[in-house]
Amino acid sequence: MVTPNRSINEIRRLLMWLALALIILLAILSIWGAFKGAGWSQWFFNSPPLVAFWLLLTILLIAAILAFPRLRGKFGLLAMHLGCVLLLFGAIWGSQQGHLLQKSLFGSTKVPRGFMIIQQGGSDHTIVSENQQPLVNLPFSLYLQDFRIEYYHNQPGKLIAQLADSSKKLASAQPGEELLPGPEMPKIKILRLFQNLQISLENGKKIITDQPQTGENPALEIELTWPDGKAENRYIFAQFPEFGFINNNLKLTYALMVRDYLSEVEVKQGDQTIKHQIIEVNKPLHYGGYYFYQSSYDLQHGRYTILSITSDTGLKLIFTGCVLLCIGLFWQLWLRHLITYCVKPSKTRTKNEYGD
Amino acid sequence: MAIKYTIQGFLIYMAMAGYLLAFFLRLAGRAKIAWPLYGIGFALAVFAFVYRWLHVAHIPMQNLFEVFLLMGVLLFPLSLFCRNILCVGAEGADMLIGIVILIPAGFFFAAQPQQLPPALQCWLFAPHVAVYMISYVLMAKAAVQASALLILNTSPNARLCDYESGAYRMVCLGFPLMSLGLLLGSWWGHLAWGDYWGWDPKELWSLAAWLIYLGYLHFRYLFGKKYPRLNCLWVIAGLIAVIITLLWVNLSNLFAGLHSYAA
Repeated sequence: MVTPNRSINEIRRLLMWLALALIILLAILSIWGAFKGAGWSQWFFNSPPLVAFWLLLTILLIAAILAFPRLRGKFGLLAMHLGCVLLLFGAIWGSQQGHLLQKSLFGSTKVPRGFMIIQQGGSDHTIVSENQQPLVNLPFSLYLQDFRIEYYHNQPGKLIAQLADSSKKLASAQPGEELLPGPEMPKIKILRLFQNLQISLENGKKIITDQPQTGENPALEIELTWPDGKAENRYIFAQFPEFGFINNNLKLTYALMVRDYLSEVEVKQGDQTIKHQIIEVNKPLHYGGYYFYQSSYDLQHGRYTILSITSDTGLKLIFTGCVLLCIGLFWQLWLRHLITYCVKPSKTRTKNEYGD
Repeated sequence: MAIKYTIQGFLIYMAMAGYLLAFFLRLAGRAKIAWPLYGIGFALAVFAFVYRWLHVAHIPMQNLFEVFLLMGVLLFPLSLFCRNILCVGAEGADMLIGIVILIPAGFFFAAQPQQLPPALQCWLFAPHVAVYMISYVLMAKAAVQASALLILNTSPNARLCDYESGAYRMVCLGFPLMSLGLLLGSWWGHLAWGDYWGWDPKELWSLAAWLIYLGYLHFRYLFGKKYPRLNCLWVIAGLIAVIITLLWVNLSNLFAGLHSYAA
């Protein structure tokens, strides 16, 4: 006859083996995913079989907490396992499938991710997909006051000549520097550096000036001397690479190290401004259940900004879980022993102090 | 090959010489002279790191050259801590690891100063990289202990714990840091890219390494010291995953991703 204690022990052992098997399987899948690339992994780890895997892992963790008194009795062990449960639950809740579930259960209109393209001096409230299909309209709008790029100016940039076969030649972006990209190509000479190139018209004549105090539009004035002796002057802009196409075989780029991309926006409800923020890399705007990130901009004329948007659903659970996991690990593997070490007089310490 | 004929290079080569001499003296059984030399190597590595910091005007953890230099600095204090507090020895191996770590910094990785791109201008940058590097050094020490058990037929010094326990203690010390590194990276990813997890090859390899050590801790909980060699194989497999995460992912074209600038 099987005693209850024996069967409970067998269940615990089975849970441990199952945990070990799932950990090994996930490690193998991670390595496989690393070889296949981020796009494939994103799809694969969100596919229905993997959703089942994440659910199984969550259930296993809950079962382990219930089955092992040690996991409930020791703060560190409980915190790390509970942390994993919260993390997995938050990740499932905030995933594409989680958003679909919330839509069918509660009629939620939130989308997990998307983009917003806002013209300078204009506002928008529609989240669009990567191919610019409208996904959802927000109950508020974002008004773009200004978009700008800041550069490092303490080191010279590079003038890059890219040929049709994708080969590249570089020159330091300093006046007087010369570059010959290839035998049938023009000789390139850098004439002048601009921190903020501005074009104005005076009596119908184009006047080009550098106004570093008023903004940033770094550019190079170059002289192209073709093999037949013809010479012409051109401008190459750091912010607008589209202007760098000289012909089908040659593209010039002024590469200057970017310090930051900034979109100055206002959150508006009707005519009322609710919030004002400069969205930068590492400083997203959090409003209305979404995070708005600086993602890209108009490469041709710099007239609009592109913000990427992600839903905040599940994030609090995920980060609470992560913090709990770390607190549990540090308590269980570090602090417990540190306290014992500090409390015990040094003369009575042994090499087996850590209960290996 | 990128030999550095600069003050930076000179400091790194001198630190390597200190570690190398300390290693040979340790092999010759002259531990009393080896330790001060190891300390001098460490001081020179600290000078090299501080010099780099002043030179690039930001904390130098941006590329492989800088993180390997950082690991070269971390070894000595970790050796000292592990020996005196945790009773885990093998400082001779640590001296050798110090040389192995500084060789790529001194001879292979380019040291051109670089400005921080926008994504790296975050307060999470330094703690994220630093805790990972400390954990990697500790995992390397764990693998040394594990390899000693598999290769050597001797026991360590009577004052020190056995190799299997040594490996376990090192993993116990390094694993929470590795987890913290993962958490900080995920938080940073959320701030910079809008994704706490991007399924990037480097992220996936670092997850695989974390899972191998997690598997080891569960396996050791299940069987204790019953299978010491299997325990050691887990630890060595973990270090292989760490090396791939740190080096192969950044240096190979096979794994293009968001972290590729780290090379």
